[in-house]
Amino acid sequence: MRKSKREKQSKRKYMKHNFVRDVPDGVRLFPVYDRALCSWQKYHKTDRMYAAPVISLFLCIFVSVNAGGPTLVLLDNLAIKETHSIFFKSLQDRGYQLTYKLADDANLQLSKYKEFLYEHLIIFAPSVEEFGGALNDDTIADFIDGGGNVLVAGSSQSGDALHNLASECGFEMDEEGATVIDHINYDVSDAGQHNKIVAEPSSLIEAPVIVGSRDIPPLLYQGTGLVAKPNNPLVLRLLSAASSAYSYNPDQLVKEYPHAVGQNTLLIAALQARNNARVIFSGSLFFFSDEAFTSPVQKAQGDKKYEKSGNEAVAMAMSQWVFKENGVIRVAAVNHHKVGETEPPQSYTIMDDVIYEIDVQRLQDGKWVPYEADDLQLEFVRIDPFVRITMKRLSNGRYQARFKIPDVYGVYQFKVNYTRVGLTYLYSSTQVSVRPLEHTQYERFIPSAFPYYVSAFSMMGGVFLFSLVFLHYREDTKSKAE
Amino acid sequence: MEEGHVWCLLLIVLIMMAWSTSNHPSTDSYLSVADKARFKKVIDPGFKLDDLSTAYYAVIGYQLIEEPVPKSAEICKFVQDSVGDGSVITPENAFYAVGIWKALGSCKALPKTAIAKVLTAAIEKDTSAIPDLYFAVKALTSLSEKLSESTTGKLTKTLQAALKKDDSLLNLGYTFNIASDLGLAGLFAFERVEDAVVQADEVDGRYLQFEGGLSVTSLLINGIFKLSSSLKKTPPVTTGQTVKLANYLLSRRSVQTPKGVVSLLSSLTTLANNEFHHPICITLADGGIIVSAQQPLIKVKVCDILGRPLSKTPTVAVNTATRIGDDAVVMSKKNFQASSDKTLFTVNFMDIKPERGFYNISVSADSVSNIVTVKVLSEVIVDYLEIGTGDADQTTQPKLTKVVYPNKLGQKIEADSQQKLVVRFLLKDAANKKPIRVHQAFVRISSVSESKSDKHGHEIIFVAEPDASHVYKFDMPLATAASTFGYQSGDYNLELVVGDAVLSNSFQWTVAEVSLKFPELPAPEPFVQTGKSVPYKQKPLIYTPLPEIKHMFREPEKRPPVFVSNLFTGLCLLPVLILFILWAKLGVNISNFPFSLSAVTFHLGLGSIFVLMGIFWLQLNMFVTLKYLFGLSIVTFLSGNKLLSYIAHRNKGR
Repeated sequence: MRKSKREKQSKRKYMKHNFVRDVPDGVRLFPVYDRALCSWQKYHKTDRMYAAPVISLFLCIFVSVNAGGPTLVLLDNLAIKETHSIFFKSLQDRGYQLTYKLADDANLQLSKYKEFLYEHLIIFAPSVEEFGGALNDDTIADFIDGGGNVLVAGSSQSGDALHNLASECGFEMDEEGATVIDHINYDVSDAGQHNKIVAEPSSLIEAPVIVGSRDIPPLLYQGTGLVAKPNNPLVLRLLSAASSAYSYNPDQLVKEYPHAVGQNTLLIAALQARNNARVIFSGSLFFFSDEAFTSPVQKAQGDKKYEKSGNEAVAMAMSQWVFKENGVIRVAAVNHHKVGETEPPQSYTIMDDVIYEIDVQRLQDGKWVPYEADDLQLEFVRIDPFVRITMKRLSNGRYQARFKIPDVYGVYQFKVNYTRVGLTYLYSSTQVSVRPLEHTQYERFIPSAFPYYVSAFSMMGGVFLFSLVFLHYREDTKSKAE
Repeated sequence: MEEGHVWCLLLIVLIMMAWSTSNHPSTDSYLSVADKARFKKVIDPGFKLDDLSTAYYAVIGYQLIEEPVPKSAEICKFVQDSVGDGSVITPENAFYAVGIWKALGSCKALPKTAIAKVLTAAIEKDTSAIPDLYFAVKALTSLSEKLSESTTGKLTKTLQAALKKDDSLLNLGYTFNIASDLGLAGLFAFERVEDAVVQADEVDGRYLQFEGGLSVTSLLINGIFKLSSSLKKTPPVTTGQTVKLANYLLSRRSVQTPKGVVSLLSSLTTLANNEFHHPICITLADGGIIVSAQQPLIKVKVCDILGRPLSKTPTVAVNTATRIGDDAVVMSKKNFQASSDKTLFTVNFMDIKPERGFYNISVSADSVSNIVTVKVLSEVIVDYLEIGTGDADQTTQPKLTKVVYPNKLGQKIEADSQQKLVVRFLLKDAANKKPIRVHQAFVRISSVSESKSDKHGHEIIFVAEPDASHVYKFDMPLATAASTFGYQSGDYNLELVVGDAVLSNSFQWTVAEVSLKFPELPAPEPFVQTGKSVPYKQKPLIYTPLPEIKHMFREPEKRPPVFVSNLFTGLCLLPVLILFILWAKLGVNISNFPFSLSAVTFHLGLGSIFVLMGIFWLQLNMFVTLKYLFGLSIVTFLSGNKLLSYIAHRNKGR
């Protein structure tokens, strides 16, 4: 009876969460990343209620499983479709349905009747000043809030639309005309301004799941510089420039402090919102072009020549990541019980030995396969974590933790909160209650307590005997009188 | 009066001529050898002979880049197998097969009559789609079969009807191509050329393309120019438009499909070889944008769009050379020298001792001209660099030490929070020893320990400011810079980064090691309720495993030794013992015990209550105990009552 009530309650909660999606669009005050920070809760899904007589709250983050999907591609002009054909072709080969539109097309729309028409959005339209149709930075922010993935590429001639979108996502783009200049690391094919720069693969982020292997030829880059806003904790610095680089208008003398200097200059940045929507922002559209994919790389001041740049490898890896082909994990099952048992108990007692097991899966080629890692941690939390241990990896993506429940009773949660660069957030929490010892469960025969035991029992024995004697004692008065 | 008119006219004509001769633009690029090699790579898979179309693209592609076709015997066999006896073949496949057969030229004869019959039937059918008509007509032309008068008439009618229904650019392109094979009968299509040309889109003012991309653009270019030459009429395309079309085609050199390669090559070839407009390319040879003392020549390549030398060697000249920025004309009317390579022309630009910078050079080759940009490089030298410390409040002159490029200062410079770090340097042009300003003159300060571990660690970059005499200054009072460094005192490397697009030797130079001592981190301000809402600060995400937490269990309390406990146990037992001893002395008895039920029950009841308490202590919980106790105490109470009243009665009776 009690349990079913609770179940009902949590079901109602879930439904309420679903309603949150339909909040009217007017009540938006914060920039998107702030909204996204708070919004993961909207998308968590009470995957299933644990069929145990304990309050078991099991959260699994909702992720779309199918690779590919409808994708809107916004272009400055249709020639970009041809100059970036290798990139688009690889997407099509991977099952994406690409819809090419001009960025200022008057009939653009992302959603119809509050249903999104596309799962992914590619904006290869650097110079657009204002998006056409129903599209603007607010609707794109809504699209991200709704779980859509966005890939944006700018250039040194980026228009207002991209600047606004960038600041919605927590980046700042340098102003129009500015380009990343590196007088030391530029390519031999540079047109004179030293802005076709060569980025070393070692300055890629250390996350193979996003950018693939770092053991590749250098990368060619031509475009503007980005800066991550310091108050946005979700930004990932995918590719940063060398120490000698800076972002400035090459035709003007450096009078003000440049927008981005040295390693602070982001060439490609990414954002994974709290709802696992992914955004990649590149300052260079050229980075994805057929020309950049196929041209040789040679630093003007170095003599090592590479026949082909590493751009294609990185661009492919990034596109797989941003459209959620890569780096998607989920919780498949959770189980916990006392050592020597198999089912979760009604409640745990303090200082019980407990076993917690969790199955984690990873998306690979559209299928869920076991996820293998060695740094999955379990927390046993009552307001603050009381225990945090690294779980042991068993076979088939199952992880196990064994520990002794603390000697403090209360309502606890088994929490697995796994955030790693490039992976979707993994969060699972299971609530259990822990009660104190029953009076019979304490230690019984303590030597130092023997005086107390003995006095109590001697008292009882004494009372028993004394009552016997007191009631039935016969005085020998008669014999005396006689 | 009359004479004046004549002169006037002559002047106008002259101006017109001058304008027309020098104002034809040229393209900026041409089809280089590297491009052709890449095209070969794209079309090579066609030689696996998987299907007719890719094989066709491979063969035609090789033919267009004038390369011998490999394994032609195998291809011939493949074509013959696919054609069979020629009676059941679609126009499209016939087009590919006949195309390959004709391009190779060395294959055995195909079943011409059978194929021709099929194709003619397709042409004469009213319902044939325009692409099929195109394939059929082209295939028949390749077979050198003449179309009969009636077939041509019917074909024209079908085409006109189809165009009325749908005159998309694609259909127009096919129609022009078909019409170009019909001789004078193709005149009907020529009227539509203008319609098509006006539909071309201009991109960036440099490119002209037709909607639908490379394949449509190429089809239309081929159609328009072939039709025009078959009719011997100038096409309604201006020279400027031709150049822009060529620019578009050349911008698509990175094309990745075999079909695209063939489209690109065929239309470029058409543009290069037609008898109306020949786009000419004037560009810098090998991207040689750089001019310096070591390399004083500007090399210009003048060729057609396929990279071939022009039929008549042109006179190439510098019209004007202007400096970007101040538009000063530094050179005008100077001829280039021809070289042994018929497409390469050179001029010595350093003769005029230009200053470093970018120059726009307008180059003309006979009637066409183009503007190329070159940059004149110079070498920078560090005239002097001084580094040192001074008092932050400017009371004394800073103590400065000179450092010579590219050495590192021997001793470490130490600065504390009362001082400022000072760097002064002057950069000079190596050639004329004049002080110069550069685009990038940054001072980079990075932690020594982090740079050693080769991590991309913390770095802080400052911009050095030049004064009127171009002396660069960098002052950093440590007290104000402390927050930028996060109050992390320690050893830092000081580097100078100097760079400019017009310098040949941009450099990054580690000048010295400095030991910076920042003031202590100020204590965080106590929280003051100001009424303003403090913006919510996001906690950064943690991407690494967190430290493990082990719960500290409560330590069991210390217990006294067993001997002491036993001693006190004994002491606690003493009263009972004393009781027994005294009772024994008194000669205690229970002789009055009435052997009634109530007496036995009462004492048993009392005893069992005590035993129940013992069991409760050992294992029962309170509820069970109370249940038993309830029963026992009722029985004990009743029997106790009876027993006591009996005893009281007995005593009274006595």
